[in-house]
Amino acid sequence: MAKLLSEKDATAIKDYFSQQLVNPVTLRLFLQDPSEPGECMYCSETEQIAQEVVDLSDKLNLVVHKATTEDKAKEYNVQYFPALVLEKEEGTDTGVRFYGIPSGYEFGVLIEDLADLSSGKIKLTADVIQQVESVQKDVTIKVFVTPT
Amino acid sequence: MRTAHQFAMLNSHIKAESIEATEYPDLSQKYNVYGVPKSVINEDVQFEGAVPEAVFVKNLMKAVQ
Repeated sequence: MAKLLSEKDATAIKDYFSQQLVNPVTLRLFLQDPSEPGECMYCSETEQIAQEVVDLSDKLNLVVHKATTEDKAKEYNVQYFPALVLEKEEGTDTGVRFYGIPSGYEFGVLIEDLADLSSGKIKLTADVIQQVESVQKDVTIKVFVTPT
Repeated sequence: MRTAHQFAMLNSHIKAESIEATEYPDLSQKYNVYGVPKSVINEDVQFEGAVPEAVFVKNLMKAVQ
């Protein structure tokens, strides 16, 4: 199967990961079970791109679940497919979800997210960090994007 | 979008979902997505555009008040 990542991009990302990644990160991918009705747009492409990304660093690990009503999907509160959940090494869900194929701009965000998570460095101003940390209520932020 | 993800990484109360609008037309319609990026915080605070982190956090604080 042809690669989705160009050789040039793969080399650049591999290089970036070797400089930025410190601790292991798990990408947990939820795909629609083939027995379920309805087609999952881009499920197979999302699995392929996720696999190509984790192959670029031994600190990254991919776990694939095929589900809709499976317990894992409930446990991780995944509502749509494909869904990519980012986890820190100790198995903590970071609350970061990608619904749909991470391509275009989103792909760049995924790569940067992996570096942020793995290194534990969050590049925000001290004032913003303080406000974010002060939040005591459950919040869900949805950001709608398109690939370009 | 990255800002929302950074917020989620900082605080376990915060979840950040990026949604590919064209793959989920029902959701896009539900939240009146006409332009991207569009952010929706806890259903009620909504704004369009890639805003600076200081503006994003202001919207976050408005949603939790």
